[in-house]
Amino acid sequence: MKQRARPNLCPASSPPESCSCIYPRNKEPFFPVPPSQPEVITDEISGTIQQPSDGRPVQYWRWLDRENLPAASLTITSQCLSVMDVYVDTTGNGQSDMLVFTISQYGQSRSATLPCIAALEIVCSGHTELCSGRYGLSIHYIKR
Amino acid sequence: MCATDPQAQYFQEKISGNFNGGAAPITVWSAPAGSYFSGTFQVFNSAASPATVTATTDSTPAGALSAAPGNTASQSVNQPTEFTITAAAGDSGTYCIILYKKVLA
Repeated sequence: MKQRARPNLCPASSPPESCSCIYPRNKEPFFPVPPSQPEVITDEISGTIQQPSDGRPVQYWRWLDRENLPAASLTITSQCLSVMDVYVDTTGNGQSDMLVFTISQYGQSRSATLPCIAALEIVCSGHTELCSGRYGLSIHYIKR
Repeated sequence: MCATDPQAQYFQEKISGNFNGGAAPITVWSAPAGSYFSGTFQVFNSAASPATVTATTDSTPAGALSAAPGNTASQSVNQPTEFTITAAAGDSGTYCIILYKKVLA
């Protein structure tokens, strides 16, 4: 039986002479890759407010990294007859001395968006019962 | 050439809450100027409310909403900084805000 001659194939790793520009492929990408974007992290934080209506502040949330304060949208809903004063720390100095808003009606919500926030404190007054409600924070910060 | 900025990131934020009518208008949301480039503001007036509820948005241009009892009204505006609801005593309902922010790399 007559055997057919094997074709003279080149090894797979050797490029054809006419295609040396694309074969073998470079490991480097053909187009430059744009620099990576900073990643914006969003956290949703919520909880229950319960404290005496005695005019003393209660801290519900705190951010510890003073060098990278987040932006935030804050929503407070009252579920009591007390007057709720909502204070925030916007500098990270530990003093929640900025009054954002006051809620004095049962069932009322109020929201605010702040460029920087480090702590949330609430002061309840004006009623003898326990002050209650809910808080919600949506914070945004750059991943470092 | 692409129409969008490849270095920008966009994110959406949703805020919602309740309102109760009273003597004075209530600013239910506020933010520093330039915080958001766009927002959709929605107010739902409970069917049990005795009167129509109105709302205004400080924005470009200014927004105005009106919702009869049992109805929802919504509006999208640019550059919002404040959302205020005016409701008579006995009126109640909910508000919902969707905000859009652009973050440059």
